[in-house]
Amino acid sequence: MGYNELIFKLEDVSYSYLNHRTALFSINLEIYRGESIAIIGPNGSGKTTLLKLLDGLIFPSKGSIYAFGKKLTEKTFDDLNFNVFFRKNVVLLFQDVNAQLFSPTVEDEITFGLIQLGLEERMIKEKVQEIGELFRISHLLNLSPYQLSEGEKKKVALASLLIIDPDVILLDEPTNGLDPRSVRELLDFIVRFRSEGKTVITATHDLKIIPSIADKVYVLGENKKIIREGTYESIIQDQNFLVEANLL
Amino acid sequence: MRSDTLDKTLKEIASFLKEAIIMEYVPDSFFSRLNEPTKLISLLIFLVSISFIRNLYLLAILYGFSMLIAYLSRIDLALFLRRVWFFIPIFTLVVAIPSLFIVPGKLEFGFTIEGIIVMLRLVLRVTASISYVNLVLFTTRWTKLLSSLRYVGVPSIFVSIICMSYRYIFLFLEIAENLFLAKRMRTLKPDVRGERVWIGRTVGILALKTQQLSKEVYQGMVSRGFNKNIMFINSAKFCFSDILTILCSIVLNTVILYLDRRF
Amino acid sequence: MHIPDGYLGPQTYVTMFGIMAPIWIKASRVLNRTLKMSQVPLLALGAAFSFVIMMFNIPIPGGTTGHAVGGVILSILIGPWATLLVITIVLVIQALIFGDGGITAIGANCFNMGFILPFVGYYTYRLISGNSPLNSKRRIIAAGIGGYIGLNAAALFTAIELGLQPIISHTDKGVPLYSPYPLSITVPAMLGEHLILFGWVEAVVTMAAFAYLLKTNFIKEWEYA
Repeated sequence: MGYNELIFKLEDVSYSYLNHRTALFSINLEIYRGESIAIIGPNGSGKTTLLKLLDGLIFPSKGSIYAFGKKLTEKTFDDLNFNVFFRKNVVLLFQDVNAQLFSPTVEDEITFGLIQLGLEERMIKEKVQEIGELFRISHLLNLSPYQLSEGEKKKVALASLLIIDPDVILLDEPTNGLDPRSVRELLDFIVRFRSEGKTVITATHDLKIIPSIADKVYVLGENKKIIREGTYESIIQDQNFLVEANLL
Repeated sequence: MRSDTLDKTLKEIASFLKEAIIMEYVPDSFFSRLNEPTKLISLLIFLVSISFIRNLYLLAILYGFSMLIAYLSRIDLALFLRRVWFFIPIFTLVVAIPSLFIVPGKLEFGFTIEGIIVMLRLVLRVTASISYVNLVLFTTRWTKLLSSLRYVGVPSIFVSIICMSYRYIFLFLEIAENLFLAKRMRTLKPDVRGERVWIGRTVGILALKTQQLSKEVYQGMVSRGFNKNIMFINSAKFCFSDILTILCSIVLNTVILYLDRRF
Repeated sequence: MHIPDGYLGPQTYVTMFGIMAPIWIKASRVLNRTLKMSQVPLLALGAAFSFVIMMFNIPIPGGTTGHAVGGVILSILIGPWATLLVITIVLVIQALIFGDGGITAIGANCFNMGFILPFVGYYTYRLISGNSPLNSKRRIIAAGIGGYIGLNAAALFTAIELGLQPIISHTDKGVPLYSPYPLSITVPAMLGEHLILFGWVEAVVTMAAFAYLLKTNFIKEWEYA
């Protein structure tokens, strides 16, 4: 698999909330098409902030972030064509799926993205059936989100993201609060995306899942910087480092 | 000893959630197969008509008609009656009793005939209205009922907001339930003043959650290509039976209103 | 305070929809101009918030319980126009799904609880708090008084709408067709229980919520976020 096309490039990116609380500090990062990346770090190290930056939901307080060769700013997204292109290709699974399941029923949720992209009603029906079978959620379509278990919520959220067939999938703590079977199901999906050549970027503090989700690891430290990068093996074997980084 | 008010709120939340789930089950019938806008439009026709009718017999007939349709729709009638009568008609009855003595008219048995008529008319009108509302609720998925508001002139952006709001009511109820449970566990003896302040703080906590989650939800929408035309709603298809139902509602109520004005 | 179907005659409820129509339009315009589309979820979640806090039972001296509306705390946070829309959404859901308040009475209920309550309450709060600093005691008390007066103003209008029914709609012999009681009964009855009981509940809850939000530094961040 060729890693030649640069998708994300971060140059000295810092982000602070309310102009004083720093959430990320001076991040430099390059991510190529087809890479699978894990971003690990303790709570509050800025993993979620980094994913939201990559998804173009918030913008750097300092430094620049480029996606598909374009600098991401609020203005970039005012260009409707770029907005549609970017949203179609990059999706983010939120840590709190409740923020993502905002529709009255599962079916409405799954079709939301397609309706935003302006698909025809017949096409939408077909796609819903397809993705319902793939994710084994067809029996949930008429339910409301509050009737779902945590595992089902994650699956529905993921299905509603993947129905538009994106290239880049950002996952924020995808296994949090899931029972073991749901974790296995979720990991199977991630393995499948990777084999399809999609770019998968996962933020997690669950070290066990890294081998199935990533071949490259970035570690965010409590100082909100990237304190280490490397392969899973090289990092997992460094027990002293892991303890120091509050990961073990 | 426990606080009764905490228990009361917890009980109400629990029964609310339970009811919402029970009512998700809609028995199959002619009426439940009608599309949602049809049911909503017919409901409005009946409500407006009920609000105009003065004749007690006609009000009673309309109330009876709602029961007949409920029966034909294979609704659990005991549950239906309980949901209709509890609590507004009973409340209305109690509130209206004094009117027996103050409405001017010929005195008989200590109260006036006119007083009885006024009371019965109010109670019947209130009950018939609620009965039709419930008839629709028992035969329709609630989320679809809310989305059909767009067919009665509510702008679709508001319909979407209403649908979204309905979904988050349940999330906030869950959060509130947990806060109340935790409070009940820690409450050793009731303290009325302290409890009021505690509820105020809980309101504050929920406000905080509202603001944080609103931001996240907005990001969730933007992330998925939200482009100012938020729409959850598939357009409804009107079949022959739908159009027929609306026409029948109009004809029936016109006839009743005509009779009401004649007699 | 939710008026059910059947209490108000058509003349009244149609008039109330007529009064609300321009107010709703104005509210949508105000929001469109100042608040952008990011307010869609805020309105939706604000309504869910408002719905849920109206379910809380609050102890009243004497052993009964009451409910708070929370319209004033909401208007301090998101402004009275947004609050108007939020409470409208709540009332529509309550009327349509939970039989709380009538469908024909939505206009009237929105006027009382969605318009009068937050606007009277909010401007009372603004008037009393004046230029005092955000975290002063005066503001907390102002919020409480806003809640108290806002709720009572809403109760007064509800009483007036109900009390007008025998005057507006009656038979030739003067027998009322809708809510039977005249103003001389509805106004003292509604105001009495709200001045003595529910108004205080609203005030205490509003103050406690406001104080909590100040302490967590939240109101400040809400405004500048």
